[in-house]
Amino acid sequence: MRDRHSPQTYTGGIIYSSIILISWLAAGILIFYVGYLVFRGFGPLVRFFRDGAFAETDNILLPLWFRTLSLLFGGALLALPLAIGAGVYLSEYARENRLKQWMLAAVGGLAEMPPIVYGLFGWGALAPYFGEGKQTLIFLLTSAVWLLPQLVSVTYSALKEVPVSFRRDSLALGGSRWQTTWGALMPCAGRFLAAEALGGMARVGGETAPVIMIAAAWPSFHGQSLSTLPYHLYRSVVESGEVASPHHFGTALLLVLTSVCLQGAALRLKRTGDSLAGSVHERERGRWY
Amino acid sequence: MVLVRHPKLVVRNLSVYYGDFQALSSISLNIPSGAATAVIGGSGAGKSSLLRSLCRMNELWDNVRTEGQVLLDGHDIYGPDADVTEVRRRVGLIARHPSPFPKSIFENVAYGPRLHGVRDRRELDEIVKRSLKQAGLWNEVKGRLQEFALNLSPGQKARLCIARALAVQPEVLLIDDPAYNLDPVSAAKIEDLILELKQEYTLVLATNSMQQAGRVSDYIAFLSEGFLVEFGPTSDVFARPKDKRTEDYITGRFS
Repeated sequence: MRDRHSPQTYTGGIIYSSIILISWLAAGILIFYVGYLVFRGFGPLVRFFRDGAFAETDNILLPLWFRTLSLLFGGALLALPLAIGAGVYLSEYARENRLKQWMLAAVGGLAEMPPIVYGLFGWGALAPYFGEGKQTLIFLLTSAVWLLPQLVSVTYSALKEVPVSFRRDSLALGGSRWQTTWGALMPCAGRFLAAEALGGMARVGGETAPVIMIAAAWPSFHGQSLSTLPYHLYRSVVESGEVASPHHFGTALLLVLTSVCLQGAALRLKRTGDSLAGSVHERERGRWY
Repeated sequence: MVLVRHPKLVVRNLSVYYGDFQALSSISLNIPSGAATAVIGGSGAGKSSLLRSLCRMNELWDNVRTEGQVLLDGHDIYGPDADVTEVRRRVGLIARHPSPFPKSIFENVAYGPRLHGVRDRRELDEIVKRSLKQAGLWNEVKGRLQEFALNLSPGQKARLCIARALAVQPEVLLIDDPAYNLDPVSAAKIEDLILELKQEYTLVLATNSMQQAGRVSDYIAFLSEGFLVEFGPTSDVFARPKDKRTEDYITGRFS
């Protein structure tokens, strides 16, 4: 019988306890941070929605919120058709060769690029082309270009996740590749794709770097026409020079709530997709037959 | 070669390669019309490869190479003028692991006809009803056609996949291991169904079960390591096998 007080048991116990402690510590920091944000921002946010304005600021939060959401959805809508087309091509039509491997590596690399690089693209390539007064369009295009490789990568992965038996059975019924992709694969992959699009929007929505870069194209421009919640937060803190006010916490809380809602919707969609694909036996995945 | 009066499919010198591996070696046989032909043989004998070759489903692999001819009503399905989607509509394949689409029962059966341009709801209703009746599933699901197909039992899923294949009105039905992973009751229902279907369709079954082959088939093709060892009427092959390897296999004396 194993000795309960053997060194192995002690070492195991210490490692186990340390992992639990670190996990709780990480969770505690997060809970403290969110709790602090809610504590400082909830009251102002409720007052804002009840009274229509923060006590000390103009009524700008609601238009900002809507602008943020419309820029996010606009960028995603611009990127989605291209991303779906490219993802479908890579997954269903492209032959397995070096070119395809190279394209996948390039898409993966672009998807991981820091957002400031996309901001640089907006500032360096789009801003001079479109000129002043088209900042919203520039930001939309920048968001779309930023989202594009992420969504291509997601479309590809989502289609590859669909059990091969769906492709096989649809083709065996006399369906073409396109009919099979559209009729049998996309209904499954579409959920993953929509979920990842929402997740990508949540990430884009929280970024300030591209907006700052685009705003930098015109020194006199303060980004009002494309001001998003995070940019507004950044600018009001930097320019006011004051200590954090309830207005700042209210804005931050609204941003966090927006992001949580988008991520929650994404998670919900993903779970539905998992239950669909999971219903097919694991052996069916990755095999034509 | 065994004389078959009305062959639906004529296979001539068919060889299939997956890269350097030769799965089928110069197979020649005539598959009779309106009968059930069982393809038997051990694991890796080439049964599934043969079935896939009869409907050009083997082309889904990147490195597959097919040589020889498969004539469907006299026309080479590998010929330059052959329409692969039409070939697959006429020669339906039901794979070993039946997988309904994650759609309703109705949508599963209506999927094939929709692919081929049927849009009229009344016509689709008729097709779904007829196909489910042919597959012996109508009485079990008629009140819940909009239910999710993946919630059906394994035996019902197998019959739903048969109904889905029947909905496009194929002329030949290829069924790979029809009772795979099914309990004896569900397997018996599938066998009854095969006996009914062979009145109307040309059936080709790949099976590992000698008993099943004996009960449902009219002809038997025995494959071993990619070669066709013997082909003939089931009663003849079982009673008087011409080749020692066939005799060993059907009597269970294989190494």
